[in-house]
Amino acid sequence: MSTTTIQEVRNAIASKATTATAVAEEHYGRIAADDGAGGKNIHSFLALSKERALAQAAKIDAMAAKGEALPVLAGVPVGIKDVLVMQGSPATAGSKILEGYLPPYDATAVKRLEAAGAVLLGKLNCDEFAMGSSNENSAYGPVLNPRALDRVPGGSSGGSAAAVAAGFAVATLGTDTGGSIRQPAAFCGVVGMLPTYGRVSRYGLIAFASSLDRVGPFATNVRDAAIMLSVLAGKDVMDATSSDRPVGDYVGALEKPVRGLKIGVPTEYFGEGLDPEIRAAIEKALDGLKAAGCELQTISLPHTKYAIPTYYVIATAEASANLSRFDGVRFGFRAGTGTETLSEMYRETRDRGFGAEVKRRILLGTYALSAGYYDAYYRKAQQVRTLLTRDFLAAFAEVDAIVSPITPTPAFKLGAKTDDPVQMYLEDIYSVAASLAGICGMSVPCGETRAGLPIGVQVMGRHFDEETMLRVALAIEAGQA
Amino acid sequence: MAQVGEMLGAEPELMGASLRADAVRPSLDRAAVMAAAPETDGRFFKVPKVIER
Repeated sequence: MSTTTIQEVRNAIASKATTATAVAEEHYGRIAADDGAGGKNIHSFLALSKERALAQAAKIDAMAAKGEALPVLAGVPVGIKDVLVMQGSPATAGSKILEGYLPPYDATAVKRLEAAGAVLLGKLNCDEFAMGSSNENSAYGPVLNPRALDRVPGGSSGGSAAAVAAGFAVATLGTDTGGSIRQPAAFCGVVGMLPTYGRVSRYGLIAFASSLDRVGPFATNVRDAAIMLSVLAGKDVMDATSSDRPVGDYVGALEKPVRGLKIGVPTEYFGEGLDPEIRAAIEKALDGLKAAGCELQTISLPHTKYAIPTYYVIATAEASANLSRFDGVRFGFRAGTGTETLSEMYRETRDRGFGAEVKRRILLGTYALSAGYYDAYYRKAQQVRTLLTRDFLAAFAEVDAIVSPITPTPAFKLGAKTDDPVQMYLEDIYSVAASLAGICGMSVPCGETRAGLPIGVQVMGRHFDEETMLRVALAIEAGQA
Repeated sequence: MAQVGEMLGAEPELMGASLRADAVRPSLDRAAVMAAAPETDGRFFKVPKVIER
């Protein structure tokens, strides 16, 4: 396991202790040794972008050689979840339907990282179209958890979490629609952040559920996550849903003490089904915050029990609309011999191109939006979503941040939940409410089980108040040392 | 032809604070987009026969 930080890489390159090229080669060496079948077969990468990475590394090395000031991510090896497009690298979204697609442009998040000096190593495995909680829905095969190779890394950003945990990348990009950054971060023992809805541009993100999808970073520590956010955040003319609210000083905020902050502890998140070892670890983290001068306050988020059904109506409805663009006409895979009609070609392409879970969600979503059912399902779900959001707004009138579990259990074994989609959906019980409310959240490591599996704790913050969330996360991290 | 900005200019309360200029901006290169399609003549996406008997 590598514990290299963004600052260590940048400083080592600036002081000429190493070069960006050597750092990139070292990480590619680790990937070659352990990501494939010859090593641990973690399978976090779906494609490597070595040419682009080494060109960028050479550019950083030339700057360092001339003694120029280096940008904040100079030479930092970064991986990109394969739902974000990168010019010249295949984009699959973990699906067969995009097999062979070479996108002609870069996602804004990708562009921003590279402009800040990051070396883009390649594209990371994920559940098909980011639909899943274990990475077992990838059409290209599962990812193994580097901390326990018989277990899942979580999902859908399983490759992004595993790559950081395995030391293949110093930081990665993931996406989170209902927990897809925070849950795998917890399973793999790394930091994962869900920025506020609108904080990071989604231009170049292959859409799953547009009112929920967000782009965010994985890192080994809270400070690196803050650095990544400072690069990613901000208005983008190419994404009308990106916010023009001023970007905070996320790294500077880490210097502020947490003394006096009010921390909400929601009773609904500590009920039945929570693993006792996780409960104990989170209570310990809360004790640590108290010792650091925070004031703990029990709060209630009364509509929490409706979050999962609400989420699975809204997310599937939006997915059924978004995924209609995959029809064998403009990109990726087209089925057929050329002798069938257009509608036969659509049907055949989608039948052969999509996997079982994606089809299930398209069907569910189409049903929820269909005439006669729209009011009962989609409209009702949107109304409940407002109630869930109001729960958080009321809580944040009293407290500065909320601390809760992020997963009910530690990482489970491969295959343990693949037969029962409802069991898999229940994985999201502590994550989907923040997704629906649009607030920011993050998962921070807070110990391990007796069996050595990582445990994560969730910190949630007000809309666009990543600074306070990061301060609390840092205090939890400091309490672990 | 009237521009969107001019049309809304008469009703300033409808002018969103961040309404962008109604100007042509560069878009993706057509050849690059077409190159990613399963079937194309370089100008258009080609699809199988639409009308069924």
